[in-house]
Amino acid sequence: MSSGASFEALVAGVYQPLQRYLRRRVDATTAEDVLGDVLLVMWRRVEDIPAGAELPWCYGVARGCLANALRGSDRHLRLVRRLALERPPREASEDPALDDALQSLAAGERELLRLWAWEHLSAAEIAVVLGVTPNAASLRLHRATTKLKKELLRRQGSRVPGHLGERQGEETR
Amino acid sequence: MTPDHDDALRARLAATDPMPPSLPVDPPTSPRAQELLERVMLTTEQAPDVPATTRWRKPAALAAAAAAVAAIGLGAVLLDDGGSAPTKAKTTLALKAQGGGPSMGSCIRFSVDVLKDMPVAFGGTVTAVDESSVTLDVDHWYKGGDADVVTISTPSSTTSEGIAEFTKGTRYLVTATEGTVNTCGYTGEATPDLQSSFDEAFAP
Repeated sequence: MSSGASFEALVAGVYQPLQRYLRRRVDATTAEDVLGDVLLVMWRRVEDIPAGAELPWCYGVARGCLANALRGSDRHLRLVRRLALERPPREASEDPALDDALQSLAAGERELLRLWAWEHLSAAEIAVVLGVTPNAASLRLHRATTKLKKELLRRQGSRVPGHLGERQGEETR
Repeated sequence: MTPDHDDALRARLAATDPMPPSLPVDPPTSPRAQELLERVMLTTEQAPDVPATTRWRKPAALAAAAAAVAAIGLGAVLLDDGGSAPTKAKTTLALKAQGGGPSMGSCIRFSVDVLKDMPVAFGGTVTAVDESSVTLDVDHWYKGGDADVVTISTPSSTTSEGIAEFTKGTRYLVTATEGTVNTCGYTGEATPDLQSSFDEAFAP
């Protein structure tokens, strides 16, 4: 039963972060269903899990299972779920300028920024989630943050924290 | 790139987190988590050298089992090299139950050593029961087979003593020798105790 015991230990380490990942992106019911799917994939593919990067790998699986679940639902439900994630109601938003700026980014860029800021992953960890090289992840992250800062500057009355707005259009390396 | 700008941007984004650490989530020790874990670990099998879409492990000791078991369409499945692609059509294995059952005191004491020598062993859930047969959907083969479905036919003279009582929807662990299902505890409901005996007996 030793493989079972180590699988339990693995799950214990990722169980809560996985719930957060899912519940940040979909409603609680869908999140619970998808969590089961993720655990099944983890069990079947336990040999593939990279040591030291277990959680990012599991996020990658969760991302795939979530995409499947969103594809599988009926069209209306899918739309509702996507909108809930992508566009929080403006009046309820605590940072409307940020939300607005984010809407001008691509969906993939938004997910990248979520992994960076909500899951608090490094570029190397994001690489594991997305299945790309660390360099590619680093580059994408840099592009996304640069673009977001640019969009925030463009909006009147917005401030990028730490950036006084006097230096416009500055491209950092 | 100035890191402090990005730290500030990161913090600003983090402030919109709908599930920050301050909001609790289910711990892995919760009953729900344990149930989910159990279900995952019992109903599927790790198959490291088999593609993720296939559920069956490569059967071992096929030669003896092929001769011993009366089967419909099993021969072709047993000769399969195993694991390359999932079979689409459902394969069925037919077994018999002993008529009359063992008399009192004729059971040898249950032991994992005897269990592991069983030529055919699997775990499955009953999908149908009638007066002459039981049908199970196999979820896991420990040894000696590859079929998706097993039917166990009971001889008309059986008094149903000695063979496991099969209930629809319940999962059982079953062994068979020479086409006949074993009794004396070598076939039974998949209780945690019996499950751990099977896991121990058929560990790779």
